[in-house]
Amino acid sequence: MLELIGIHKSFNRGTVDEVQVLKGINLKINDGDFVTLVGNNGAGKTTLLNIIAGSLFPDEGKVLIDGVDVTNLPEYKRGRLIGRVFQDPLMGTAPSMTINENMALALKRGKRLGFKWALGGNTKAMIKDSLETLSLGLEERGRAGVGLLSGGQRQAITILMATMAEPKLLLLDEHTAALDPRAASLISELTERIVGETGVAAIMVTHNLSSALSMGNRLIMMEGGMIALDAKGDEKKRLTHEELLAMYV
Amino acid sequence: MQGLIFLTIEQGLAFSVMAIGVYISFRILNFADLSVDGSFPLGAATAASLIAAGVNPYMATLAAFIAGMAAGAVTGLLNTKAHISELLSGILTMTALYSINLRIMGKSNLPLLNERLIITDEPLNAMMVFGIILVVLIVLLYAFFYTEIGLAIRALGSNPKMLISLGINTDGLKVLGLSLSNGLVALSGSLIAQYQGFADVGMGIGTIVIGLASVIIGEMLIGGSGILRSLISVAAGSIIYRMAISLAMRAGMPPTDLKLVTAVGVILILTLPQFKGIAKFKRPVIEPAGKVQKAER
Ligand SMILES: Nc1ncnc2c1ncn2[C@@H]1O[C@H](COP(=O)(O)OP(=O)(O)O)[C@@H](O)[C@H]1O
Ligand SMILES: [Mg+2]
Repeated sequence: MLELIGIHKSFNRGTVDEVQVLKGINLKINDGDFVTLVGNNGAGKTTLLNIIAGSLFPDEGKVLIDGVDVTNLPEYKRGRLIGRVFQDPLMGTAPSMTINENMALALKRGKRLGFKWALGGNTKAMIKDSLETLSLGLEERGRAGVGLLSGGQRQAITILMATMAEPKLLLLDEHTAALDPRAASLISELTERIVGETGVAAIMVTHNLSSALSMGNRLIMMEGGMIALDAKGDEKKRLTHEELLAMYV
Repeated sequence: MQGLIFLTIEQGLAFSVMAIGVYISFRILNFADLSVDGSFPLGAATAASLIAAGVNPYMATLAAFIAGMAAGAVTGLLNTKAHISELLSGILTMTALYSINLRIMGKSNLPLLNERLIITDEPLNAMMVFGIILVVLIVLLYAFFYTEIGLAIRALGSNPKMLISLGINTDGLKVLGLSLSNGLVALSGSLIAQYQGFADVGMGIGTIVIGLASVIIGEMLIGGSGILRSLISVAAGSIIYRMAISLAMRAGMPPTDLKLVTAVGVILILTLPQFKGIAKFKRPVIEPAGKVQKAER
């Protein structure tokens, strides 16, 4: 479903501040794969996700989605295929708008916007059903402004928004790191459930090694701009916390 | 005195269309658009020259709106396609419009003598016509901002990154939002030209500051969230601003000091700590962390 071929990326090229961040990443992700991505700070994980999503373009290499070369496709066009959740819970929602309004826009992912009522037809009912799955009581508060919600609530809504219009790929970048422990575990459970139910291919960056081991069917470790470990299926299941920790340099 | 009050309300109604335009760019789109100083006289020039040429005044007024939309689209395209900064895009359009407005009028001042206008000299006629236009516009805009495209335009000013990650092209929305904003400003210019009986190339100077003053006064005195409430409060802000100005002039303020006084007033509101928060000039894309902490957990 996703294929990265020889991805190189550096910043500040040709200056004294040049940093080579990605040094030839080759990676193939299949339909239904749920990859947990780990690695030291600065290993290039966020840069890799940005290149997949089109927020950054590689210096060399290709990005293919379902066999189609999307290397030069602008970010918003790739947004039709890719759902994203960022570390900052404030990034994924529009604070001046209501929960319903935010979710209504998410339902339009990949579709043309028109002059129809954004909350007309069965849109509200669909949003309510979707919010009910969170069991946070938000289904009764569709008209509440998103700016008034807690970080955990906003992140929960962001995950719904990222997945409700059935994207092909879900990118999660340390999306629980800014939350308190309770909210973080709630969001982790939610992530696991939604990815399981929808079967969407997902890449989740995390610094929590137990989550990285317990969640998903594949674990990738990045180190210095390269893939240092790619454990799939049984190999991943056999991997222990200690072994993983020992691999951090 | 009563006559003066009517006069002030009539002006306030006509100018409130402009203030709503400024509200759309500054508050909804979060875009500091300076092209309105050129699109206001553009509307006046377009309507006045068409009316002087014998065109139906309603068509001329509509043409002013469309001309303003085109001007707003230029600012939007300069910003999104040519990647010129917000401020400079607006300034470029405003500057170019100065020459364009002179070309449209053929001279720097175009009087409208004995022409048929959308208003007549009868008492209360202008108030009624401007009032109807304002109410219709508020209803239409209110509805618009609840359509899919309208919702997306609101989200653009609130969190553009979210829209992009939802696969929505923000460039087109920005151009559309700025078109709408400048169209309204130009429409307001055409109403004022018909009201005062002439179009003048210099009549746009300070439009942006007067618009902002109206937006801020409305937010301070009425405020609240929700699109309908905001639109009404901006319109009310414009009328209140006109009243304050006319009172100040009655008290002896020379009309030439009007823009200085308005600018100083806006500066005071933007800087005095007790007004902060109400009149934040530029909302951050995401609110400061304090707001989230205050919220429930
Ligand atoms: N826009 C940028 N300009 C310069 N250097 C950058 C930029 N973005 C990231 N980097 C550098 O690239 C390296 C990798 O960053 P990142 O992909 O964010 O790592 P990770 O997410 O794995 O912690 C870091 O050294 C970072 O400083
Ligand atoms: Mg990172």
